[in-house]
Amino acid sequence: MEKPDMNQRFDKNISRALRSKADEIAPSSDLLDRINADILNSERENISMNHNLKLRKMKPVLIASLVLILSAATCFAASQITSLIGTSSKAFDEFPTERQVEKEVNFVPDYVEEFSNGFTFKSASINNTQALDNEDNKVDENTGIAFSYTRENSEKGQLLTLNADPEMEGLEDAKGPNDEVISFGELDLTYSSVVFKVVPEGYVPTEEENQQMAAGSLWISYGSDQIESSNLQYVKWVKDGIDYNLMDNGYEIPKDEIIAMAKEVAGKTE
Amino acid sequence: MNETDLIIGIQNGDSGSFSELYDLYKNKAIRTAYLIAGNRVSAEDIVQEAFVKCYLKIGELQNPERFRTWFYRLLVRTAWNYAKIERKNIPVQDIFEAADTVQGKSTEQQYLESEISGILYEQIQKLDQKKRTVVMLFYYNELSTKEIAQVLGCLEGTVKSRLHFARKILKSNLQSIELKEDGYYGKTGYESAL
Repeated sequence: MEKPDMNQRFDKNISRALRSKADEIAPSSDLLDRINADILNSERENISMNHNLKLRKMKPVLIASLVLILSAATCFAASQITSLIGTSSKAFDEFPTERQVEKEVNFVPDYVEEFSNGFTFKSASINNTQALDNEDNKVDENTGIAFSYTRENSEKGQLLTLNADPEMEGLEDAKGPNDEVISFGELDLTYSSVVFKVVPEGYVPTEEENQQMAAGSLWISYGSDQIESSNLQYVKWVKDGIDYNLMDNGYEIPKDEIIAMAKEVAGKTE
Repeated sequence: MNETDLIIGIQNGDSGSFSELYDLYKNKAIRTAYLIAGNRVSAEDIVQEAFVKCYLKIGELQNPERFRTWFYRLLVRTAWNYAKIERKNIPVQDIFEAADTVQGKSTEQQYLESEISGILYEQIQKLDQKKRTVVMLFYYNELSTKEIAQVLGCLEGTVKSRLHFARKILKSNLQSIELKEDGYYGKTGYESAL
């Protein structure tokens, strides 16, 4: 009869002892919620560090949410809402039908598969935005959709998105320092542009940059190895209770052209 | 989606991928944290902090296939930091909780195994932090010595050496318990552990 390997038996006993102890515990059901809350707080702390303009390394899909947060920031004072938190998940790699969109977000926004200047649909993601008061209580929540577009010879880092989100109660439509309003039928389209700069950790903004940030013409995000600067512009409007935002980061589409693109979307069902 | 796809999804800002990744790792993570910290409250805090760090730093992970060792590194470092604080703040007798529940044991063998496991676990807890962590990552998390070296940021030889000495200490301690308590538990039980 083969003699049992004492070392193997000892190893087995150690494994069993640890498994037996470990089995006493399971994660509590709300642990993921607490993790997500911490992540959101952390994101928000980074946002609020420098007049809500200092951000950690941005993920592309979050830049679109940033526009919503920053363009809404001027309205916070008039409402109980003190912060907006956005999360996003990819939903469509192929152009979705209206029925598919409605199933995800419970409304059908104006959206297009392609623009006349050559931009075509690339993907779409579902965005959840929560509005919190100063004690982190959720006072409102909505689910919207962000369509991403591309064109031939696009380069890494270039981004064109169309966001459609239900209007958030408690947020007023306020005019920012860089805003320009363009009338389009019964709608007011608001155009704005800023310089979006990503800088290494530890970067100290110059006095001039601080003034530009205060004036709303410069946003600084931390997290890049080197200073990267791009022009970010957007056109926003409200139609039938839906907030729309067409945003260009890096393509540097001429101002008249992006306004024309916004009119293509806004005029879709006019 | 496989794990690599989930990592890439999170790096691209997909919060759904983060939830899926959490589901994949939550049980191992909480249990590893529990084994290191010795109490439930700290284990939850450690896992909470580790997953938050994971989300915030995952953009720095260049090779998604190395996520497992990268994540355990975050978890172990976080647990060690907690252990430092706890040693300062919590009375020693509170750190290692007794099990709340005793599983029903219907046979003598199961009872004996449970007793041996309990005693072995007590001895593992008496190892110094570095040896104890190596033992947990090797025997519970089933990481290879190479992976443990990556988690702890040391040489594979150091891991092997810590494992060797940990086994030696455990065996020696169990033998000395056997000698002291031979009359009470019966020699056969401890011999089977060795």
